[in-house]
Amino acid sequence: MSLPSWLIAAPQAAPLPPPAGRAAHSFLARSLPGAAEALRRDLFSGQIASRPGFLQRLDPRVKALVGLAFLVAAGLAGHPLTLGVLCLAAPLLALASRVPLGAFAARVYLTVPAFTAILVAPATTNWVRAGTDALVIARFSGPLHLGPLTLPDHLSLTTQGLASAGTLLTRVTASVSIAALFILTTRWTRALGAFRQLRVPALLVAVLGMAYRYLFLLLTTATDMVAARRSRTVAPTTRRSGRREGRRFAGLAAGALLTKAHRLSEDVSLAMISRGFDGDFRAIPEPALRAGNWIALVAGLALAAGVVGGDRLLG
Amino acid sequence: MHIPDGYLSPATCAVAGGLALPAVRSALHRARKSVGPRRVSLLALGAAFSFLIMMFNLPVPGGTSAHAVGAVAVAIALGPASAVVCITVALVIQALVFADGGILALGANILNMAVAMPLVGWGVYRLIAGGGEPSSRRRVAAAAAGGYAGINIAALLTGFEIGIQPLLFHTASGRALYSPYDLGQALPAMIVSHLTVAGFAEAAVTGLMIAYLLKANPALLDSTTPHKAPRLAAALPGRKLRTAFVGLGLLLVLTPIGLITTATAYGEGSAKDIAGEIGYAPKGIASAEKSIPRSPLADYALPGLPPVAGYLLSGALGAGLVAAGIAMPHWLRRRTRGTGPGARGDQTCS
Amino acid sequence: MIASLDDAAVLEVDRATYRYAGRFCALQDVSLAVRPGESLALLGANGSGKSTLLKVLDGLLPLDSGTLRAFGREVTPDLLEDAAFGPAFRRRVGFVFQDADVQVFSPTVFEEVAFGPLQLGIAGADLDERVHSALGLLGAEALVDRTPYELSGGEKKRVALASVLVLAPEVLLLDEPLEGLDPRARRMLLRLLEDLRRAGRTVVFASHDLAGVTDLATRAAVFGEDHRILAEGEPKDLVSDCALLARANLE
Repeated sequence: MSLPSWLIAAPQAAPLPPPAGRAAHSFLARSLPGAAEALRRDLFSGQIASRPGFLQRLDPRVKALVGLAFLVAAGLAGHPLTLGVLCLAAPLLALASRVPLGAFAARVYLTVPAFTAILVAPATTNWVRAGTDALVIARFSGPLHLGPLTLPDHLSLTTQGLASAGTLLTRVTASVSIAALFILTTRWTRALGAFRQLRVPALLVAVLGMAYRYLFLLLTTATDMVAARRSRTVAPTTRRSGRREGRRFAGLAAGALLTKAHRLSEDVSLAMISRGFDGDFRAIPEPALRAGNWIALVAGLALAAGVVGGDRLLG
Repeated sequence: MHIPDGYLSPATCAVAGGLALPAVRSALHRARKSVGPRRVSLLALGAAFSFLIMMFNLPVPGGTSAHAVGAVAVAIALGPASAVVCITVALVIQALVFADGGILALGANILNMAVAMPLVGWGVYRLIAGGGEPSSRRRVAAAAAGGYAGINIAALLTGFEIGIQPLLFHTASGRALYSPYDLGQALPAMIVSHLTVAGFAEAAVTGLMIAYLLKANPALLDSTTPHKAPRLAAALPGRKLRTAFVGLGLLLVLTPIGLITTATAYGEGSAKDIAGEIGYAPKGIASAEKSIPRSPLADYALPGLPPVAGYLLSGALGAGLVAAGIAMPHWLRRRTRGTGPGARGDQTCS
Repeated sequence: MIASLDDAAVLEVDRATYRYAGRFCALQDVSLAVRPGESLALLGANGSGKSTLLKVLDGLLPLDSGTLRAFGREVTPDLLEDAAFGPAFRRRVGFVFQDADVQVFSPTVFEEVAFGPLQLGIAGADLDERVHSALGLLGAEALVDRTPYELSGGEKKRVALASVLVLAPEVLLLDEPLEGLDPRARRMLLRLLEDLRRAGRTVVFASHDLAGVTDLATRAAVFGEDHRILAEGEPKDLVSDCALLARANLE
């Protein structure tokens, strides 16, 4: 068979165009590889959980219960000292559990607390809530009127505002630290097993386990789809049309992804049925708690209660 | 829209969780009974899918970003009960593994995004798509509308949960113990950003997804449309009930009319009102009033909110609570009525 | 009800027809009996129906028309749901999918292999021993703590095989077992299947690759692109019939 003319004509040896100075691809194409890498790093790195550290030695059920108790304690605490202590204790525990501080810090401090700080910044001012001025930033000749809003005649940081922001920030940090300690030192499968034994519904645990697996699959498929599309983006796009195209692609790709994955899930369920699955997940149970874990459980719960009590005493 | 730990008091988390729990359990129960073993992998798929949608921040004019949830799309594709389970799972994974959303706050996040959003969104979809065989254009439009409505309801609830914190939980000196933004700030912030940016993003994602499914895999959608799945048809509100809901909605919208009058209804005055009328407040009434704790929605108003909004909010809340109170025993009765034929001596979800 | 084609058949289909999604024909009027202790090869181009037949034989797909008989009884979807028959059937028939990714979905290899026995009630020390033994059979003992989806293709296949063999099925159904295997793995698998057959088990496998067929199969059936069986008989006869192979788009 002879090739058509457009395929035979030799490609021109033209020089590549100069850079346009902006991205060729949509947000989707750019955010996907990073997201995939983040997932691979976070979800599938069971390395920290396999190290012989303090927390890793504890039974996941104990960790879950004590962790929950401390989360509640962090929620109930009112005094900044209590919250501060909780925040400081976390990295120490991380050290004792051989959690690399870099990973811990990246996971804990650079996420929720960082954006909370930004989010809560306006709340430190008197424009959000009136209070005692701690630091005046600007003064205006009179009250400002912006449509229905009337703003005071000066912009300042209030003591209440700063205190509120500080409270929120430390509380958020403490909570995220506790959660991070749990998830970094516990293998996902053992965590799920613990939930099951702590009476979380079997179906929920089963779906949790499988969703974890599908995430990897979907991400790989999505990455491939985006890579394929990327390799076919042969013409430059304007910024606006590029974004619009990107959003459109996102919606269609989502549909395609779901269909493809649905077809795959058919076979996955057939494979499960073929091996006797009848709807009731039977997982491998954790062995009974030994003395060390019981002590840890009681001590942990008592400590959490102590934190709340101490906080109440502090006032 | 994921609320981290620390923004809500444990009490709020407990209340939200208490509201979400029966819904999730009921959904799990339903999901178990439908289509048996295949459901598990399908649900896991829906969860993973929703997770991915939530992970992608869409760029927004202005430079910030918002994210869609995909709950309504999953509800239309797999059914509302399944969607509850799927989004719950996605939220749990996000909270545990990614610290996206708190763990104590899971109750609230689940209530907003895994319960309220798919149910409302699916309801709107069904309402607009109508009975019988709707045209694909209508279905896509209905899906988009459902997505839009769903995410805004979720935003409303989120704003409400965050906004009531400073009012309920603060120290004597005025320091807020949890979220420092009150209703007058949190609600508009959430509502405006979702009525505009995120709402349209969700509508677009939902609509496009349904459009794609209609072309590529209509069988999947058919299982959730009433004329092809008679069992589901029985579960949907019939015309009479729908008219009742419309009527209820109208009444709700009209409640602020009460603000026109300035006098209090007979026999409902506070000690101050009585003193105004007869010249003095009887001792018993005055002391009783002092010992009653002040409710957060006193006089159907919330400080920081214009009176009309306060009325509407109170009306919606009250109607919702009453409906829930009626529905709850019904749910419980249905669950305890006995295990169906598919149950092989299986234990229920506890 | 038509009498069984072959009274000694361990699995058989009679005039089976199956359509995917109600529209796409996958099997058209297929009648085939699987005799105990044999190694039956289902040959055909992609999409000819051989994978579908395997799934039908494992009771995974309900027929649109025709019957499936297993171990002498007619098998209906209802019967498969039966609390006694269902698990017993699953124990006796094992299926290895073409795509190992579909089959391995547990977080660790141990749990993957343990999945089958757990569902069927084996637990504790017995479970441990069984799992390790099955993995050892496939030379995959070292993988026991690994995460299945991080494994290479060949390793995944071994784990998938182990997870089916651990149930000691009487009949083993394999979809494209040799695909994607390097020469050493191929030899190991062929040897394993031969050992199983000599131990009295039955093997049915689907393949579009003629290479391993004569080594492994004692009987073969060729599917045409019209989703019917074109021919049945001795593997070396079929494989050397060029006209047949061309018709079936196998060569």
